[in-house]
Amino acid sequence: MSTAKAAASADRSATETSEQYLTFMLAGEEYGVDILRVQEIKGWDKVTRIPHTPGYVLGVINLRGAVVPILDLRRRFGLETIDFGPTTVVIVLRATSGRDERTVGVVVDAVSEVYNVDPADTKPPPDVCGGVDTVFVKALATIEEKMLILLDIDRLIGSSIADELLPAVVAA
Amino acid sequence: MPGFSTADQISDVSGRGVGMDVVRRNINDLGGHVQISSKEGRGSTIRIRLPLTLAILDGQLVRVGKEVYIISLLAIVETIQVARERVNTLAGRTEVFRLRDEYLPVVKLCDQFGVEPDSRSAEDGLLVVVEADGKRAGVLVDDLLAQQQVVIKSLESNFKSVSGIAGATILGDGTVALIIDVPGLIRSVAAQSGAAAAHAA
Repeated sequence: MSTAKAAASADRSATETSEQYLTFMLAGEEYGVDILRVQEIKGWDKVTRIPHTPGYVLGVINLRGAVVPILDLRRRFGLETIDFGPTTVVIVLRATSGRDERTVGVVVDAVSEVYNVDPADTKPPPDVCGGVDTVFVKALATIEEKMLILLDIDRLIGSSIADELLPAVVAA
Repeated sequence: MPGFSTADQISDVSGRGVGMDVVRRNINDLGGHVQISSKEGRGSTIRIRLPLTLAILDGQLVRVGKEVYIISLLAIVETIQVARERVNTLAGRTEVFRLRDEYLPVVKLCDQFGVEPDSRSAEDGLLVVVEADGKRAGVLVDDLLAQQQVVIKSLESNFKSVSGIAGATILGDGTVALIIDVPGLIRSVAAQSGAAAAHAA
């Protein structure tokens, strides 16, 4: 009985401290997003373009009756664009800004894995990162000798859509 | 126990009243509610209340290149095909056309929205004469499609407001079509030609 209890509490502490991240590939690098923010993963489908928007906003889709914008993460990060292939997927994420919650899809090269990441094992991104906008990077994690770039969804989506000036950006 | 069932015999999955729960949830999502009252031996009354504010608009579907847009029928005065001799260019920039005794500006949706049209010249397409805030303009489109009622969906809920666009809707084939904000479009065209004039001066 007591062993079962101990095992249960050990189990709970493991789930409490480690966070699950869904990872995806983008131009050879592996990025991670908090899995609790992922609503679904779907194949690339035709979008309806929206005028007067930056190039990384590909358009909007009908997601079971909701009008959901689709962002191209390669273009958002200023990476070389490629033709969408069979592994190209849309990850539908939920981002919050203030009291609002937005559902937004991002196009990535491919989905990869789900990892348990212990927050203690993550490192903040270095201050100087040439070319990469580190505002979106929450932390870097090392899993199986690979580097994972953990993204801050709220900042990424908020800055991409609403042109919300983030405190970090203002400070910089 | 939540749930409503008319089944005489229930099993693990059937007759548990899940169906009515789904109905209730969907109606709650629309801002309405469901009320059920039943009397033994008499029957049941199901009342569904829905708000009238579900935004529905009578729309004209128009095509520009591969894109489909919706213009509110209330904003449309008429639709015409213009002859070349009735289209003039003012100062090499703004095109106007004569509609009976009026000169109206030609608004090219292809240029406003950055889409590739079938044709850029006013005499090849159709001009949808729209009116808003007492101002008229001819919106150049490639083709007129169906007229239908559409449910207005907000772009802001997941995105943000976009100039010239009043909202979006979902067409019968499941694709999203954008609803044109006619007053906004006329205002932005006026602002653009004003800016161009100021620039030229």
